[in-house]
Amino acid sequence: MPTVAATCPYVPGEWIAAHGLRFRRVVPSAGSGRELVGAAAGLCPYARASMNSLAAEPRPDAAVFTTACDQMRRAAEVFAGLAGVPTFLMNVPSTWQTPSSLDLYTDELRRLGRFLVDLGAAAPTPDDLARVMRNYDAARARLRAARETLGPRHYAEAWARLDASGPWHGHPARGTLQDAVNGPLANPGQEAHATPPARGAGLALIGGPMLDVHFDLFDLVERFGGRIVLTAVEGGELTAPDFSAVPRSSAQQRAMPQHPCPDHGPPPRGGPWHRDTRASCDPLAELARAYHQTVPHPSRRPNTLLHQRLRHAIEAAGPRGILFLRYLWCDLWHAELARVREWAAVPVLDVDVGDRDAGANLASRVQAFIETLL
Amino acid sequence: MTDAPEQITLAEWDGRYARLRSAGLAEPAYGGPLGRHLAGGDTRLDKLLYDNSAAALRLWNFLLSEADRLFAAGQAGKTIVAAMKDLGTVPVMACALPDVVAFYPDGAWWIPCIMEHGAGLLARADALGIDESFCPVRAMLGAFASGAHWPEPDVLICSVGAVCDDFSAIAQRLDGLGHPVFWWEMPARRRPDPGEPAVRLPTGFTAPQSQVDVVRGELQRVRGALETAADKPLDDAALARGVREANAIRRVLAELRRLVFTAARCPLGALEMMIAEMLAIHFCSDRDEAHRVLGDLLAEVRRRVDAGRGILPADAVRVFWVNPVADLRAMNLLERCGGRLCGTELLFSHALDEIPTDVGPAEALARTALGDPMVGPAADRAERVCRDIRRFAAEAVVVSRIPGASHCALEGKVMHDMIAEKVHLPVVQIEVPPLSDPIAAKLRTRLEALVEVARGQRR
Repeated sequence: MPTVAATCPYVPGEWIAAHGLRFRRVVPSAGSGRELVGAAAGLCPYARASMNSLAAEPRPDAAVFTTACDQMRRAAEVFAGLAGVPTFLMNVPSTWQTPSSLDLYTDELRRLGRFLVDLGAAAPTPDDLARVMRNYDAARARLRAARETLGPRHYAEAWARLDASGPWHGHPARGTLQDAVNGPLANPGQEAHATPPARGAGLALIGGPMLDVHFDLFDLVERFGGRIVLTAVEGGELTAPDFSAVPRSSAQQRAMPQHPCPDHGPPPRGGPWHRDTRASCDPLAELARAYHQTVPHPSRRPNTLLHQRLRHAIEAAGPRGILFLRYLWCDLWHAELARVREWAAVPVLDVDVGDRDAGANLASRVQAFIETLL
Repeated sequence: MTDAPEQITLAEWDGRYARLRSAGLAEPAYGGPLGRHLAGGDTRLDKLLYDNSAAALRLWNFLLSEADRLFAAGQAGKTIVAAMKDLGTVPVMACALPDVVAFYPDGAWWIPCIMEHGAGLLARADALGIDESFCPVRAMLGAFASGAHWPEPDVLICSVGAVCDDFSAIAQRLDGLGHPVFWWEMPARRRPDPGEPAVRLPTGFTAPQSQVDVVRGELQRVRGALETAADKPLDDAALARGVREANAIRRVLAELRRLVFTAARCPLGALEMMIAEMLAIHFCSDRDEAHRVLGDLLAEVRRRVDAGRGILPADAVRVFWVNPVADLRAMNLLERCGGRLCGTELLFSHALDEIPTDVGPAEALARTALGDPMVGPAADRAERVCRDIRRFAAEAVVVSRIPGASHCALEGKVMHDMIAEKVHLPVVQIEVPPLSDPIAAKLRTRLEALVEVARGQRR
């Protein structure tokens, strides 16, 4: 089965899987062997690692980049030229409060669909898509339910790799709904990773997307007497779509284009596909709304949703300090650091990472930070 | 008094100014000796070389008096529009309304250079969490915080989407600090799919009609924001008049560029040419005067070309320049190294090309905005650069990286490789900070090497 890979949270795995393709959400590796692109002044380590990881074996049959950040937009052009992998650049609008913005995003999903069909995929029926969407949402719900038993590191890793491991693709023609139900998270209590005891200074880890090596931060924090009580990073639970949160009654939403079903009237909150096994009225529209309007990101203008989500999550988790993960040359997340510091009621440590590993300097910083909180 | 064209220092300009005045030089209200700007804190001016014409004097005075003009407009009750990032489209719309003045806060990126950090804008940006890892346009944030460089705008209108992350992030920070921004979407321009309805844009790129439609819709929202701010309707007839006025200026500039970049001897310096091009973006807050300033400059250049006179040796190497420089002195440096400017792509070619008049003004402006070289593939931009390199017969290319700019890390290499391959000219990349003095020797070495290689290829 052809594989389509992406890193951006605005690429709906559901849409790709519904085309009968395997969707792989890539957690870029800091060292992926032969490098497609070397380090360069001004080049974001995450953008570079993304290009190198997408070009590493096993290579995907296609890669999807988005315009959510300028470096990744430009990385798509470089990657397409160097990697020899069919590449699709998806236009993800920065504005999100206008009907035209939602239309643009929805049209881009349709264009992505045509790209997938050109690769040999089959265009899904609304029923196919609705079924895959249910599978994905069920997988997310099961993962949320497994939070306590998985432990912070493995919970974060599971979110980052949620779409990466086959069982989640859930194409109806291949009976993978059962795979999803019986997947590794179906019995989270049997996972090898025990929940660490609740001790030490609770920290929140928020910010940009993580490379594979950055999951070591969880161990680092525990080694120094802390524990991560909240992970809210791009590519993780923070940027998962929330179908139940798609606004339907606010003034803003009233301005949005609605797609009433001629048979059933306007779709209920949460989408008809979500509660109803019948063919949905317009599952693609529902999918687009969920990703476009509930996924927070620092590229969004305005960025209010991102800060609402972060504040809410931090208030609920009650950490004693915040680790703010960002990359050198990542302007979008970097610029949010000062704003988080303005509203955060607890100390914030700037975790400025490169593309190799956390490094001794970072370890010392984290250690000192935790010491100040104990 | 000699009228031979030459480049002179600021001190020399003050003497020349007195002589010009004695000879009957008539000036607009913002005129005066350039030295007064130095006294006002623009200390970098003392380290630049200037064209010695009265037309250049007028150009400099017009540029350096913009803040005064903006404050005066605010006090006169005019609507002040801060256009951000789109570089050339929103001011055409804004200036189509009576008693509306538009400017680009983006232009603050030259203040740290002009005032040699005297205004403390970058330090203010630092304090707001926008440090030196961002593009020098972060000075805009400091300028807003200081309140000293322009009056509080009635509306801030910023394009987002396919723009530099630096700018988008800084504008968002500005919004969060109590300067509400009206955001409009600029999609990433792509090449049309096979069979997809497409349109050729004024900049020469081709885009799907559907993307033009998106931009037209966004500009319609911008039109609404302008109407609200000005409390006046902006109908198509007014918009069409605004387009005609902008085109008149663009035609003058196009002729100026053609003459300067193709003349046998360089009739006008790189520094003045770069500033002249900047006028096309927002007319330096006075559209009609911008037209006159450029008209003066064009007349001076015509006289020089007709007389076969220039400011540089006839054998100066013809250099095409990509991206604006944060330190104006770099343009002088090019000439000191034996080069002359013969073509530019300073991020805003879409503000130089004429806006179409064979379609409605909304459609025309959408096509113009989508033609922005920065919103599409770097390969498109490189193709445009290659076209202009051939047109102006450049012999070498400088790709000037902007420190910290999100687009430069990946775009620079694409441009470099494509230019080298397609036009077989020597290309050098440099990076110019707001004050380049500490790296002046390195810059000089690289530019001299480029010039030397280009001269070698003449043989």
